[in-house]
Amino acid sequence: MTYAEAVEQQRQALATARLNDPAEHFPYKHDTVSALVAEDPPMGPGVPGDTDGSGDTSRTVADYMSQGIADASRDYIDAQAAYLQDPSEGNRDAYNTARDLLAAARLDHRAGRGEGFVVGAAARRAG
Amino acid sequence: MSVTVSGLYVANFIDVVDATQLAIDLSLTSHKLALLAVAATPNFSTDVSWSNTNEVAGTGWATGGVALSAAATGASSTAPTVTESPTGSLMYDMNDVAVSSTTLTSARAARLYADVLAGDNLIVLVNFGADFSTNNGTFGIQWATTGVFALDLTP
Repeated sequence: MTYAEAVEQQRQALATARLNDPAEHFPYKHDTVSALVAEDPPMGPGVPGDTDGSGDTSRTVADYMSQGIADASRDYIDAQAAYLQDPSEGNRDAYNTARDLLAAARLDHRAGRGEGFVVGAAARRAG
Repeated sequence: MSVTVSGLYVANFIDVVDATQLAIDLSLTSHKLALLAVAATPNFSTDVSWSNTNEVAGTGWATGGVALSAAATGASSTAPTVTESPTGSLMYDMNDVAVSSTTLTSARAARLYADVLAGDNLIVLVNFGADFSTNNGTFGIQWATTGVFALDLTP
């Protein structure tokens, strides 16, 4: 077996294993996420010893997720699965396009955020 | 020493691109985010594997961390991506982390590692810059417009 053949065999084995791994993300939980985006319930951290997080409205789902990101995530994960199953040029192009659309959806949602390496946790500071 | 900066784990990134061929695929969602206390002493040159020393865990966030496949809103995937952004740079990014119903005390950093690899190989540590806690609430990380990290490959 040549090195190139070994690489291709490894790629196929990894792709198959990933698609069959229940710990992976196929398919995306689009319905669940869409319902939460529509409802936009509280998602605050709560305050230790004081406010329970379930009643903390300092943050909501909209701070973390948009419908655009949910839709783009579904398309990206579907395209990723198709590419893993069949690494054709067409599927590669579709995968890259879906990836770029997801990146754009995130950028749109993050308007106004900083550009540092670390953005920190949304959880409220202790104490 | 304590958690003072963010960083990538250099030894593992070398192993990805040399004859070791360490199989860290950044698009995997079996990678886990584990939380760390400020007392942790990361060494980005020599640390290789995850361990539970100085780990922060609690209700809704087990020791060993939360898998990226269930770390976003509604226990959905964070859908990690690797793109070119800005031009000449490799950017690793994902949907915001939002794990609900957690009770956690004084998390100072998050550490991503490859849980499916035998070595539990470390990938990146993100320093929050302060301690954060929750009380039956959402532990969230809102990533920057520049993603989780970006590597300038054309400096």
